[in-house]
Amino acid sequence: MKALFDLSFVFFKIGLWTIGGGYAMVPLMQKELVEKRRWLTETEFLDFFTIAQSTVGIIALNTAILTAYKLKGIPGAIAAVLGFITPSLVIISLIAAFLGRFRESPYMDRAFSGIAAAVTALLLNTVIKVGRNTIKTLPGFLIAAAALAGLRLFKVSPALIILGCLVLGLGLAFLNRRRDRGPRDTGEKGPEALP
Amino acid sequence: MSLLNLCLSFFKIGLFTVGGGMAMLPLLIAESEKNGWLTPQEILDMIAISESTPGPIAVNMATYVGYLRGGLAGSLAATFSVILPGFVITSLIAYSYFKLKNLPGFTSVFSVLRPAGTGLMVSAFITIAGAALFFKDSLPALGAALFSGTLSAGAVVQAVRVKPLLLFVILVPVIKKTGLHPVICILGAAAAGIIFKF
Repeated sequence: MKALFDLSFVFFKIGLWTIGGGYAMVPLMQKELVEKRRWLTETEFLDFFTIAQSTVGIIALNTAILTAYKLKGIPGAIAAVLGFITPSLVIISLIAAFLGRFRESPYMDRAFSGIAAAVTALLLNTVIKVGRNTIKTLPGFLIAAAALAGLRLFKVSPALIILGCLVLGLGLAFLNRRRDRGPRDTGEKGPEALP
Repeated sequence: MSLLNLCLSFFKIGLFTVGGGMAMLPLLIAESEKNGWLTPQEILDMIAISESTPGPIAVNMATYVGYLRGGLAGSLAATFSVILPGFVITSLIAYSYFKLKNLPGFTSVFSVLRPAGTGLMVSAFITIAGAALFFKDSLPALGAALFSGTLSAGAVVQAVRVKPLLLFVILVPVIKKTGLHPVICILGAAAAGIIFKF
């Protein structure tokens, strides 16, 4: 029980002290989990972070789940997640409850017009940073372009696009496995050509 | 808007978000348009608040929308729904990682999913930029003028919010070069908005 409480508390602290989301949390997480508590080795931490980035859901939360699962299984993962989201729930609910009253003042409106420009600039930088990591080859670029065109021009729902990519990826994995087994080469581009 | 609807929408958003935080944005925008949750202006407010307060951005965004649409119960419902799919799938991956020491098919699937997720994020950027840097509803008119060949420079200038656009153009390289922290960036922009009367 003490171990579960510890897990919850550590992630509560990480959730409370980091502003700016997943990537901003990496230094603090590493300090707490690897250096201070010695729950993970450096390699494990890097592995977990890589897996967390390439699965469904929220990166920081996934890292917490993997770490807690290693230490205390599913109960640990639940404890870590509950600790992690508590600061968000409290702070954001308070802001949402009170912002409405002040939002209409002309000063707030000007401030939020400036903030909107900053948010757009931050988002563009995030997109560029993520794009550099995820789009490294021509097939990768074509997939990204197809997803963008599907959503904007043909109004396909983003969920459907992700689902389509999942099917495509599983198909490629299947082809790759068959090719690895037998000498028969279909001449198709394997997934190693993708990023 | 019933609580159950909110849960289902955020479960869907959580299930199809690959790559965390901002990757959730295109799905959130799509659900928001479908259910009439937030205006583009409110989406901008949501991002700003989520980025400049503690906690994971995606959790903050879900809590915020949940609170606006359903009060405290809504914020709890949206937050737990958005993290549930990731929780289940990541737990399965953790199981597979520790028991089997390998993740079959994992690499190929994500070699397709990750660039697609980036493409979707570009779309979210276009939506956000449209709301932040152009006057309301001026973009469809501009698009129509572009297609019919009647686009004039005057129409473009009238559609643009000049001061925010200027700030945006300045901030992009500054953030890239200096790695300016989002909170500082947002606070500075708020001050600029008030001082220069955006």
